[in-house]
Amino acid sequence: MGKTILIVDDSTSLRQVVGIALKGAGYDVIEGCDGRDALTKLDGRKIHLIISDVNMPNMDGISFVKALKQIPAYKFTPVIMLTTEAGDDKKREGQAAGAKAWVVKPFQPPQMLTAVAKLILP
Amino acid sequence: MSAQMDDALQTLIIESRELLQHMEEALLALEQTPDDAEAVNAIFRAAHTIKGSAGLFSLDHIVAFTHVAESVLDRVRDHRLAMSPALGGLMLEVCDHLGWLIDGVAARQAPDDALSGRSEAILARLREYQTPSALPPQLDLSDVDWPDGNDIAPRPSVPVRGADSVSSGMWHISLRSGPNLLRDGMDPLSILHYLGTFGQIVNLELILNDIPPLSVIDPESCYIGYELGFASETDKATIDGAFDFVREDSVVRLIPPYGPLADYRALFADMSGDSLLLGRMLVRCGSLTEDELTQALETQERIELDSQSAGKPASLLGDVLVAQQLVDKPMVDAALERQHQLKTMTAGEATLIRVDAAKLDQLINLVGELIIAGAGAQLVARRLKVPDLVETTSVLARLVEDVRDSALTLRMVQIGATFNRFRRVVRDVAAELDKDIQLDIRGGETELDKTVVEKIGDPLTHIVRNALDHGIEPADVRLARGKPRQGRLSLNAYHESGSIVIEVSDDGGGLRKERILQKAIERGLVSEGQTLSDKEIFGLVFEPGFSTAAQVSNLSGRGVGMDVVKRNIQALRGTVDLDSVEGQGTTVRLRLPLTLAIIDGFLIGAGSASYVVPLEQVLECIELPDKDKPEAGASYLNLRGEVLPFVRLRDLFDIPGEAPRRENVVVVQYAGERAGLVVDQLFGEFQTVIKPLGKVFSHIRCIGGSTILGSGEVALILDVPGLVRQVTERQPVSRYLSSTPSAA
Amino acid sequence: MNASDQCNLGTSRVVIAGEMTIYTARDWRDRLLVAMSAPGDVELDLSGVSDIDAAGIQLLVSLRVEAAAADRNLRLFDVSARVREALTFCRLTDFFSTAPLAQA
Repeated sequence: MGKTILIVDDSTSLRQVVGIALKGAGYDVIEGCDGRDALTKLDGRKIHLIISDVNMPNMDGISFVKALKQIPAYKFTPVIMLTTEAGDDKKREGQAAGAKAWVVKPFQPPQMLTAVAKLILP
Repeated sequence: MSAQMDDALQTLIIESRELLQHMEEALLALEQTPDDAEAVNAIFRAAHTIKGSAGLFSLDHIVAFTHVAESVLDRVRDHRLAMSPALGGLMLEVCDHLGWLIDGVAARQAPDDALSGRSEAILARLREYQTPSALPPQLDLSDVDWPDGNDIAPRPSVPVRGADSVSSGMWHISLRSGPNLLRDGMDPLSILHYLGTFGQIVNLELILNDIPPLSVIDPESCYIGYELGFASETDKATIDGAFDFVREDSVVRLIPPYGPLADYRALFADMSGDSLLLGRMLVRCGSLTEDELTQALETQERIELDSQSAGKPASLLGDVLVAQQLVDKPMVDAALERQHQLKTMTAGEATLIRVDAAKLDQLINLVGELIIAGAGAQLVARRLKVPDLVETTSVLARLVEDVRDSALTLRMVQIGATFNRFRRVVRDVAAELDKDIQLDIRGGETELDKTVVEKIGDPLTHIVRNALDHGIEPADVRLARGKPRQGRLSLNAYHESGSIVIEVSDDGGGLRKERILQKAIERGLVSEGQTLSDKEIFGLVFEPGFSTAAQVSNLSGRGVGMDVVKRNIQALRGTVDLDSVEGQGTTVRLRLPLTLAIIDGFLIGAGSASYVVPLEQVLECIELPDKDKPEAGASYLNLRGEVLPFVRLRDLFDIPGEAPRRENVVVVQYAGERAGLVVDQLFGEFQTVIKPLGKVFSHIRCIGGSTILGSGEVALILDVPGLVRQVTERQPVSRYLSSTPSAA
Repeated sequence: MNASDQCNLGTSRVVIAGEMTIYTARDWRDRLLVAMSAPGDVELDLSGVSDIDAAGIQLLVSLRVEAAAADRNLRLFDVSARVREALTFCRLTDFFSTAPLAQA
């Protein structure tokens, strides 16, 4: 059984491309289009890794990670934040909230696969 | 590109265009309320998302262009740069230019010189707003040399043995986990598995001494550390990269193959605990030989003694980390608080799904077929007179009706997005004409069929431009007339008896009736001395080739007149009319059907032919009593004492034969006008799937389309607006119809 | 997660099943502390462990350290394939050799 990754980003094309790459590498993928949507997608299921953008409508990535860490089932789930090269403040905020991993946008699919593999293998 | 990626690229194109539209709307909103933080954020997010997605497809020219815009917007967001009209204008250009770049992607064309040149020109202007420190986009992480204080200079991947080198040809890796590693979702063992994907873990020594006994262990803290002999051909950056996410809290040391003994000495210095124990592990790892260990430890002791005598603390690392955390915490908390305050909970995109419009069309078509088939089944059931069958088919018919309604609502979209596009039009045109014009939008939530929305853009643009250009006066004229300096244009939409009404109003000079009349006489459209109502006079501006502007400006004078607008609207089964009060303003009113696909119809018969009237336009049906029968040639009926203009369908369509003794009148209404249709038979309500008429019939004024009955016969759909106009204007019908359409 | 503890002839037996990871480490620690509160040797039935991570590994080591300090034996029984794989990967099979790995 593959490991499940939740990808949270308001860009449909980004979710689509990252989804293609991750599925190709053998992971199961579920998607959320913003923090609030992602929280509804968790549904108590086992999720091995979460990839989340920072700047999203409705609920941004930082608030999402904070909310996530309040849920016992996801308290220890690793989170990769999608940051900008200029977004060191956001990276620190994300790390303070519990998202210790990051990938700098813009990235290409192999870079995301590498970052994911450092945390979990399929 | 794989089919999947191709699909994703299409998503990118659609998404980018939507984002650019949001960006444009937000930029225009900012012109009204420059302090709108949410608008600034929306603009930033649009640029940010486009850049991120473009990067995934290696659309480097878009990434590079958006990057600069994003960094400028980032400064605006952080209040380091104020939004100005000039910057807003520049951002609108950025928006437009990105649109062209995306168009290029959609056309699978690399940007040509002209486009690249334009990119450069806009970038040059953007850079004036940029800080000098803004970095170029970093596309490749693997190029980044991580400064860890251990090894700044890049090392060749083919190792070179120096004089002070150890004999081991393996990488040596040391890790001491930070306590929060596991709580943060990191697992030091996962890193080892990752290393295993590009090398071999030859020897691994887990540091067990740091793991406390069960009675005192915090089971969620991480105590794991290891020493590792790792054989790999890969470069340092890749190996180092494995520890990217744990480096902050943990201690990581990496020593290359045949690395200098000094590196091992430094390792002893960095790692707490018994150096001899650590040394034994390094030997077991195969990284050091016994001799090398002895050598390293001897020097190590000397250094420690030296540093102690100099009064330096032996271990700084932990203190530094703690100190850093102490410094960071309040700062981080403050930032989080600010973020929390800015957080807004707006309407949920989450509940929406994107569906290919073609799939919806297919669904509507199928529902159309279903309705026709259902009507056929019902017809058979009635003919067979089996009560159960009649019952079930009518239940089925009701369900099909519900399915039809649901399917049609799927295609309904709000007109707001179309209206909002005019903010830009009004802004640009007003600037071009040097007029100050405010746009009001009302009824943006009014829904109508997607196909209709797509087709009203052009006519609406023309009407709006007309109002801006010819309607609203220049500021000095307005002031002289005692009007406010700022002109006002309103777009309004609402539903009215099964139609959507779209109004474009201005508070400009209005139409001058006598000038219109004079012009119409000049052009021979009306004869001198003819008296016309206001409505008829205003209607003249929709006649082909009619233009009242004394001066044709470069905006409206594009050879597209109001007659084209009228034709476009009529093609949508809609109507257009105009109200104007001289000196006060003009309102152009478009009335359009909500949908173009399926309607609730009322089926009527004349002779052997069947016709459908849209049900929402039917007011009532009455039997025509003999005593009320109008005389031959009369065109008015007495309806409960009121005058009702009427027409016989038999006359209208030249149906041969005698009318039956009992006739019926269907009273229809459109835009406040009523008319009677005298027919032979009333068949009742009928779900009508509209099939467009071919070009052959397009000139017939009273027919809006055709449909297929359950029996397979064709029925014509009456164009009620056309009929009402014709009947109320008392025009001879035969002029418009030369032959009887066959109901084959 | 479920566990059943037995205590006879001075040997506590703990059955660990399901995840032995950061998500469950605290619960298992508590369970093991209960087992350690009784005198005698400790036996762990690991046949039902479906997953183990660094938190699980360090918990086993921690138990072994505690037991050794009290001069009590720790035996791992019926080690599941997943646990055996992890212990082998971590080069810890010798460390737990006082209680030879049983066949899963």
